[in-house]
Amino acid sequence: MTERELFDSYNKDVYRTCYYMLRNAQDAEDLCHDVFVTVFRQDWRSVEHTRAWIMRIAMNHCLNLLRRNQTQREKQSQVEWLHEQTAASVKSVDTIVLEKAAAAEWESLLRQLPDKLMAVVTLRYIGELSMAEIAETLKIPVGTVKSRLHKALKIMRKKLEHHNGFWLKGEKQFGTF
Amino acid sequence: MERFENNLKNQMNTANNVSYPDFDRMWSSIQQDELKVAGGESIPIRPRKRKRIAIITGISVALMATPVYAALNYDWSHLLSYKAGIQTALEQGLGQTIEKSVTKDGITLTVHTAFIDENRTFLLYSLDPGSTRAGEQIAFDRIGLKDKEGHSIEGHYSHQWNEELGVFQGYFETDWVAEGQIADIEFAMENIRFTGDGTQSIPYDPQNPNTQVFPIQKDGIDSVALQSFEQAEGNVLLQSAIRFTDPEMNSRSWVRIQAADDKNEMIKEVKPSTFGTPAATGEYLGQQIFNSDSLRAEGTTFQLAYDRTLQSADGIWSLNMALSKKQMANGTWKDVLNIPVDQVPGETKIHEMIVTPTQVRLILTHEEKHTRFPFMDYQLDIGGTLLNGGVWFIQGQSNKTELRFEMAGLNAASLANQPVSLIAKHRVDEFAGDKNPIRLTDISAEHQTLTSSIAGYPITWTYYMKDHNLYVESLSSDPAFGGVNQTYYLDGEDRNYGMPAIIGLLGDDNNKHMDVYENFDKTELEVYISNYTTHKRDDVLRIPLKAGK
Repeated sequence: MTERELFDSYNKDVYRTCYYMLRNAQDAEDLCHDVFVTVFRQDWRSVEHTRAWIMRIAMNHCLNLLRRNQTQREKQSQVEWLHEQTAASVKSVDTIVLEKAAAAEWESLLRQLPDKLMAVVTLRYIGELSMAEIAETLKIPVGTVKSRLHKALKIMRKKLEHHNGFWLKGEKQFGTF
Repeated sequence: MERFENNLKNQMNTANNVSYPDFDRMWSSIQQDELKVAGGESIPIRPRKRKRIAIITGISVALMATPVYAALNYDWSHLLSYKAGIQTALEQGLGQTIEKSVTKDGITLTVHTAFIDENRTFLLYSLDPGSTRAGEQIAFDRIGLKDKEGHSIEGHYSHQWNEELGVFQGYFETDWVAEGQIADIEFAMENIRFTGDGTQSIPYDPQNPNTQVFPIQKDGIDSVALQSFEQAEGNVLLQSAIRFTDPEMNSRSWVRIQAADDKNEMIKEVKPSTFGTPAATGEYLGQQIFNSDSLRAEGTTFQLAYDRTLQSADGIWSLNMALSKKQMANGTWKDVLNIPVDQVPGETKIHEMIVTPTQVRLILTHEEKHTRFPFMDYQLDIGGTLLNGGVWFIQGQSNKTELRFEMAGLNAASLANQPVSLIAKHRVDEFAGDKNPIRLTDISAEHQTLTSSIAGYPITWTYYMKDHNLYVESLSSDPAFGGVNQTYYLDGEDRNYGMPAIIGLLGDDNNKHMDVYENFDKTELEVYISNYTTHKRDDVLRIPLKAGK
């Protein structure tokens, strides 16, 4: 595998990891860049579990940056009710609004997760790391990984259910025209 | 993994939720071997030999120069009236001559010319149906390209009957672009159907505002339900809801209502019609607006008209070809602009301009997903020549908008030296409704009105019961008000939305909106505005994109 091939294989996952951890596209881009510079400075060809290793480097970069500047987190902006419509399209304004709203809802829930929980969620669902690998990356016991994951899911599910009635009803009636 | 976790995983990994940076640029910068953020960190640096990579960009296949006059025997200008850039490129001899045919079942498909560049792939074809089938309309079950791995590439097509030559002339267009300089592809159409008009007269009574249902029971159509709604300016909206027995008809039937006066002359719609929107329960909805006096005049008759398949020729007509970007390469380039547009929401930037001999595309990026660039009309001013354009939304790319301009009567080479500006006109903004309820009282079959206002715009509300449903109409006398998009009522904290009964298009002149609350059984209701739009028709935004040379 060439450096470029390695970059092409993992750039999206690394970027998403950085994006979800940092909640900021510019920081994510810069950090994603740094992750690969770091990777290529090391003897990456001899690493056995490349994916887990790269994800670990990515997470460490994210945590370092978060630690260094506990900066102003961008406030999650309100879900904008915007419509897009072309004259040629008959897709309903409101169906589109709903799709957006649902995606925005997830995004907003993710943004509200504390960093510690977010790190576990990101490594698990983007990095696809095992519980043991996450534990090793974050230098915490496996039990703590499990409980943080459980807690994150619980928080999100609770918040989502709170809104669920709204979306479900909206979906049913929105999606009609 | 449980469903919730799956959803979460999907959400975090779906490409369109996160807009990716320019990885090619990032790659170049990674090659510099310098850290951006973690600059001060001490990470052991392994000695590293930078490889010099020679990039070989030569085209390994020599393309034979072929004369272009063959395609010019056909006049494509009428077919290409909305594809002016292709016409321009064709006139300049920039198309790639293909001239390949396949005949099957007496039907001959010929691909004449291909245009392949960094924006799209475009084929000009003709279809000779043979003398027995001349003049009928045709449709295909499938038309499209396949790449060399066999992946289908969809697009859209249009064709016209050429009486003189006895062939259909058509084009196939797709956003798909070959990755390299050349691409082996297959162009195919499957199962050609010859169609004609089917009609069925219906005893619709235009004086009766209630829903009238007529069984059809032929050609795959089950029934049609018609109802009318009064509109401004003495117009009436006729809404048809069609049920099919053959679900395939849904996509190919184009069912519409035709009205004829007492001299059996067709009564034309006064505004553009909308067909084919799906209703809540699966019907196919049509919406046509007529002048109410002519529709209600004595002696007016109604019929249902639709496309029906007269005969079909099953099989696949396919042609293999090697498409090359070579012809277009000269006039093709990309400019990364990254010009911020502070006048519009969503931290929008004009990211990139892609110029090919047939089209100019501006790629707009938005920090906020689903940002709509709030203008209706777009032009590109190239040293005084104006190109008209429009907005394209790219499915699955919620952080991007494209503006596309057909290169009409201008060549890409001249564009390179000219100043270029984007002109956007007719601003339409969207706003969330407020928390002030509109109180509907004494709800009955009688039409009742009340007035309210939002952000200074007056709104007249009309509400009434019809067929056990509550109808809530809103209309503003202020033309700067674009309309209420939808209303809702609150049940605890939950919003219950009315179902829009008129299909509205963003930015049109009609600010009347109508919601229906089905099976309504109360006499009072408080409704709220979900969103509304405003017009600034004279608003013009002009953004210089590049200076002339």
